[in-house]
Amino acid sequence: MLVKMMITSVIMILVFSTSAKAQDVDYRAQSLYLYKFARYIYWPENKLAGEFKIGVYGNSEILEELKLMASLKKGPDGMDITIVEISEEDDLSQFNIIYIPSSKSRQIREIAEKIGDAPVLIVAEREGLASKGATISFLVTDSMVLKFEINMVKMEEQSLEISEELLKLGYEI
Amino acid sequence: MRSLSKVLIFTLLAFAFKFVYGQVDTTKKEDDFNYLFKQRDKKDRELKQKNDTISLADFYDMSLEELEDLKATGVSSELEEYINSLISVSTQKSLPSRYSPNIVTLVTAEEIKSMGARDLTDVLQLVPGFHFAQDARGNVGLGIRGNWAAEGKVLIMINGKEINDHYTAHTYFGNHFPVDMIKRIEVIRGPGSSIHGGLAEFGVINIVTQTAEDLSGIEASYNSGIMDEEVGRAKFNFYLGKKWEKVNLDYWFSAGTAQRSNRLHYGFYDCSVDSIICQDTLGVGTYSTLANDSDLDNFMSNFEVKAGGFSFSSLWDYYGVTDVTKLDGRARRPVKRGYFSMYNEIEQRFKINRKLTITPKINLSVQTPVEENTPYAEALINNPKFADTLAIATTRFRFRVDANYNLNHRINLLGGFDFYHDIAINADTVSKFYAGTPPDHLSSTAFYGEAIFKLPIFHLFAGARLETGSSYQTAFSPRVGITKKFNKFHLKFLVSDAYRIPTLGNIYYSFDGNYKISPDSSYVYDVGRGLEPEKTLVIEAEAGYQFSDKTFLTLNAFDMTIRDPIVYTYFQDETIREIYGFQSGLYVYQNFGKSGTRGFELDFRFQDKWGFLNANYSYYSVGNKPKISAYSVSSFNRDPGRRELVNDEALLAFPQHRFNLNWLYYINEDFSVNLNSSFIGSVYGYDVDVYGPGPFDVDGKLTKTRFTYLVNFFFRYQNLFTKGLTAGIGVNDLFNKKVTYMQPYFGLSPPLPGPSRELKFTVEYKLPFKNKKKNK
Repeated sequence: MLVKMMITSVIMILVFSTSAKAQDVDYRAQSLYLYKFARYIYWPENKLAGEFKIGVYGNSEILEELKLMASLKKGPDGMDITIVEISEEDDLSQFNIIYIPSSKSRQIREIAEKIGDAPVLIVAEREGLASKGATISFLVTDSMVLKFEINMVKMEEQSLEISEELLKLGYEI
Repeated sequence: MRSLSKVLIFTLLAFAFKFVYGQVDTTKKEDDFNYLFKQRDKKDRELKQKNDTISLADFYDMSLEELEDLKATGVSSELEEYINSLISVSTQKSLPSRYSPNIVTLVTAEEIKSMGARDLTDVLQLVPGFHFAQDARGNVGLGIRGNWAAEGKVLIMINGKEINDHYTAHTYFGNHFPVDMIKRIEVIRGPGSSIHGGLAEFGVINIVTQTAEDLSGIEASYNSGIMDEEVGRAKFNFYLGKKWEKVNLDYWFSAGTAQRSNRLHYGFYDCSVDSIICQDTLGVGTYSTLANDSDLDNFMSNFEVKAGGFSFSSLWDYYGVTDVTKLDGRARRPVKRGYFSMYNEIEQRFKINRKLTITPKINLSVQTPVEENTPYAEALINNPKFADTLAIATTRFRFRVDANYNLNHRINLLGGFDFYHDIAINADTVSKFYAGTPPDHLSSTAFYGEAIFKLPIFHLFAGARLETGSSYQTAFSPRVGITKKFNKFHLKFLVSDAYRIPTLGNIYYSFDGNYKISPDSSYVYDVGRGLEPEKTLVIEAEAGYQFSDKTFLTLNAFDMTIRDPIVYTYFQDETIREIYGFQSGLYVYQNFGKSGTRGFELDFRFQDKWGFLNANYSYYSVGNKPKISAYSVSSFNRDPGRRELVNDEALLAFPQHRFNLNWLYYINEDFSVNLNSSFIGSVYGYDVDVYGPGPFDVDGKLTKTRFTYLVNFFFRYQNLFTKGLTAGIGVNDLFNKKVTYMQPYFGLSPPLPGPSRELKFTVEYKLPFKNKKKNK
């Protein structure tokens, strides 16, 4: 019996070691943060007309999560939330939030230059980008908790304000 | 063996009955299969399950406070939980093993219990690079990466409390540390001096026991083993933990005895234990059985109370071992040596503000020798003039302050101050053999600091410890480490210069090469003392890859260069040989030249709902590293200058190759089988050489054991007949390959037999206290 079970477990190792996924990023958690950004960061009055637009730069799994979120929740002042996959031709200043997936991290400076001082919150998935053009970048702590770094100088330049409660969850750089 | 077979068959039938009965009675068990392992981190599980089951709308309504602990990844597998477990032994700050600046191994309670571990030896021998060997008088200690570590070069802690012997810094194994109360063991397979100081040169083992946080209730267990027809061991363990709103209290004790072996061992007749031998011509020694003549007695208890940041703990340990080397006229072993030790600690954690935490600790430890049938045992009671240093009690006062400052989320600063003072009692009664006044006290002061930079590209660790003592030169241990994890891959590059400081006993028995001979040549006297800290430069690199959520592989390479190694050895030179004969010499501690090893370790882990399969392989080689005569594989000769090198790749007592396997399979949620085995390469050591029929025709010779393997299995049934009752049965060394412990230095001890095939049983009962709040 021992030999049989041993063989079974070895076979299972071979089968599962190639098929299973490792430690998937939880985009629902990031989506939750984006929702909280929408609620606890304050945009100038002129950016809060019509729909609250969240753009995702390129294709990312977060798109599906954000669309689910938008179907359930409202933005500031009861605004509808719209999720858009941004293309190269889009005018970036129309968005309230732009999300930069890890795969597009190299374009962060170019995107930041395009946006300039416009009140568009640039949220980067990759750690460390808040010092390279993003307003906020996510980071994962040693204990695998999702946090964010925030560039307060850029926030001010973009005429954005963050609530003190939300700021406590992040780290200023 | 027939009676053993009956017991084994009966127990297996009982398990089989319970298994079949359980299958019929509880059809829902298939659905509950996921319950396996989930008891390990119940709180995390419950939190995750809560997150998984709440509605999506509720999820987005989560408060900002709840976001504080929001996990960045989805529900992780059992393996991911294991490899992301926070380990604090590497730095004073908890970090996942993949980030920590050491090569680490984490042993879980599940691994220990499922294998039916008899003691810590069974557990640690599966750690890559670890191998046990023999010290003087039949004690067994640990070697790491081919290097003898038991002489104070591996730090052993229980719940962060240092428990190495204060006088000589040794720590011995074999029915010493109870395993039933262990929650996890954090192992550093490399240097830890920059944080932990002078006994952490080659490695650190921190045993974490369960507390009232883990079990508020009572637990009792009994372990037993039978080697052939002899009782191999019998041990009783008891745990009590109680958790109140603001106070946690726990107490455990373990008491029992075991036999080192039931095999034949060559002992030496000693007229200090039997005067008849002094007048007789029995000869040098003889082979006699260790069955019922190689006691390993242990009592260990721990009391701990915690209230907020305050804690008090008191650990008591008695460990007595039969000196298997000394025979009386009937070829029995009447001498037993041991220590009773008491370690008390008071700790208070002050959280000054959000960023700064300061933790002062005060320790008071007392170690008293407990000996049977030795001249010292008598002298301790009747005539202190004959007491020797080995019968000296020591008291240690220690004051330590640790500070942790989180400058920001990227930079942590750790630092501290560590002072201790040792006092040896009876030290003024030592013999006149050595020069000058024997040391009866020693103090040490150390400062340490480390900065952790969590940069976006990698984690950088830079730290150092400076230690100065009253009887040796200042020691300094810097370390630099870089760790990097990207997705499933991680890398580490670590450089550390660790040290090992001499203790009171080392200094007493130290030898600087100078001695005098009395004018009539009747004795040696005024042996000069002198011993300096040993230092070891260790360079390590590790690469790890998580192939899937169930499979993880790490490979690490190391290079160790030991400078001025402190070695307990047998000294003889031309003068001594000419005057006193070729069998005369001194047992002393000396600094030698340089030694070292290099090698690699491969560690594979697969973990799934059905159990796990862990495998590791370790290799070391001396290669072109410097060598010293005491450790080298050389021909037998008491004069180091006349020994001829036989193997320039290996060192005494440690196999160059070792492969370990540990496999656990859950047949159902309660019934498991564990199979673990070690495949051990050839080992060199010295043995007696009986070269003639005369009683004194005995000398020594170099010997080499062949490749061998140990196979152990264990069946364990939890909740057997009633909830909380667990029983297990298994066999160690199934094929009776008989492990033997060699001596890793030139110390004139013949190979020490380990246990032979042993049938083992465990029974355990766990009773959690009822939660009054729930009842209301």
